[in-house]
Amino acid sequence: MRKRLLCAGAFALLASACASGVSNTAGAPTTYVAPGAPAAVQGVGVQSDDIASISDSMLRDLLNTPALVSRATPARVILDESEIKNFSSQILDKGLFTDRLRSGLNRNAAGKIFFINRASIARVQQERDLKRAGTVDVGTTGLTKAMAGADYQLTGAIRSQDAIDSKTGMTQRNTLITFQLTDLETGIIVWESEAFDIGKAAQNDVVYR
Amino acid sequence: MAVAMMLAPAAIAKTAPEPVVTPEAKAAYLQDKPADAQRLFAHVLDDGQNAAVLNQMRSALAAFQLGDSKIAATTLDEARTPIEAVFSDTDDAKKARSVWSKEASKRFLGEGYERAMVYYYRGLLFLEAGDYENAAASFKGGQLQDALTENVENSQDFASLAYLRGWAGKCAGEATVAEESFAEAARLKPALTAPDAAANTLVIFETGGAPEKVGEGKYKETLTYQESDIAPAASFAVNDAPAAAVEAEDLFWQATSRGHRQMDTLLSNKAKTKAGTAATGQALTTVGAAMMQQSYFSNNNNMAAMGGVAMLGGLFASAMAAKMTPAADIRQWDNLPQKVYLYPMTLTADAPVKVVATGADGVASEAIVRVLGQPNCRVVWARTNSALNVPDMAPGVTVQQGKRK
Repeated sequence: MRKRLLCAGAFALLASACASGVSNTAGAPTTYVAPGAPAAVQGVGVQSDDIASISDSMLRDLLNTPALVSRATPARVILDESEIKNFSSQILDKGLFTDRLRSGLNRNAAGKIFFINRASIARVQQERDLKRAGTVDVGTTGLTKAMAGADYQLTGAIRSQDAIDSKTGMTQRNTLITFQLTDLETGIIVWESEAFDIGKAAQNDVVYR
Repeated sequence: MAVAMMLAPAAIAKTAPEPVVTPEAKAAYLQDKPADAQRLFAHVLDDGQNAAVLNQMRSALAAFQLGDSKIAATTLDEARTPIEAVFSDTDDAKKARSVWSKEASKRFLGEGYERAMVYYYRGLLFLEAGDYENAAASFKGGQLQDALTENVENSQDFASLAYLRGWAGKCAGEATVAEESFAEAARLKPALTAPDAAANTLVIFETGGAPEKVGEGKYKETLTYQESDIAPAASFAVNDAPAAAVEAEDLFWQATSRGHRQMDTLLSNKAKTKAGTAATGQALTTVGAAMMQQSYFSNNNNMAAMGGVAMLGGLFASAMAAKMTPAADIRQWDNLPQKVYLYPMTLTADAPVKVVATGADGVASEAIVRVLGQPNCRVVWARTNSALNVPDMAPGVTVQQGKRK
């Protein structure tokens, strides 16, 4: 009788406690969908290691592009984040791409590429005016007839496709990032990056679904 | 399993303590925050990490209203980061799943409508900064926060966010984004038609009080909502001219239309566990007492011993039941509005903007107004009840959380 009572009590406790009714309560950690080394990412969006990887890949590719590096005179390129369009669902600082890329190219192109700074055009014009008005001297590099014109412009687009299973809370985002180098005289695209397709899926813990 | 259950409260007590916030660190944190909102910002630190996102939400909105866009943007980004992260099998999530802890043990990330509103306000700040692409991305990201609904037809149905994305696309000169987004807004709310090409100002009227979370059921295990006592305005006027604004959002509807949460299943099972354990405890105690009484009259020592064991088992089960906490998480972003109305119009660049809202009772009052963005593409944000009209501590945050420093 004693055993039965204890068993009944323990069984009641266990039976009422065990059934959760929800599958995979712990959720699943973030994983890359496409092949590649796993990274310690926390979400399904583009993260800093993706940007580093893409920028490095572009850097290597651009340094092997004849239109850029096999010229008698260095190519002049505008690399402006405003020409990279973000159509995705992720808030992004596009300067992370352009700054990293410009820095890498400047360090590795050995003077074969010049970057034109159009973001500071008003400041450059102001300094030119001050020099020509005699307010300041001409500096050490002399005067030029005009500011430097550009040969090429880097443009790009970031797009994303999101899929969410409302039953399981599984979220997947595919982000497609492409870049082109356009000849600013002819409009010809002289270089195009590979299409960087970043697919990530993750499932939050059930307490957040 | 039974052993594991008995050990569970001890195991939970081993979770990492909140970091200590020194007065110097707190003063440094508050130093650049707008003075009138510092009492709210203080709770970002005072209430611990589990309530940080909630306190960031409400203090960011206060900063937004006070015109401190930089602090508002930074604070919303701080709230957005954990919202976008994936939490799988974290300690506090495990704790929230446990029968020994209430749902509010988890790190607050908000319900879908609350998370979506983080992106709404962040998007408005991007519009103010002229960063139309990130504004559009933010509004689109907000829609995704509304995706986890049981009722599929109510998934991603924030018409206001779709319209605002269209407005960002219009400002950016991205015709495709604008057309697609305005069409989506019209699909969700047919009265939300695309603005005239000449419209250079979008007036946003926020009115009414935030949906109020309530825990119902024997153990407060069911999350429900009730409408705020702060009633929405019925009509609006801009610079003394009636504004035929369209209701784009009703957050009470958004809160109540998502259907069943998976967490609700866990809470329901927690409540059943508590009820079952309590009933078992009561039954064993009653049976044990009866056996001991019977043994007294029959002079049966074995029966007395068994009765004693049963009573002890019953008391143990009752004590366990008392420790179980199936309560739903009713922490809430309380300075949100209930409704959002939109009204595109054309305004001259330097025109002062005065917005008057009239309630259903016919009482008119001047709204709080912020003019955001560039003259050729701007947003007039108007609000009938102040985002500062909330208590220091967010509703649902417990005193225990508030004391953790």
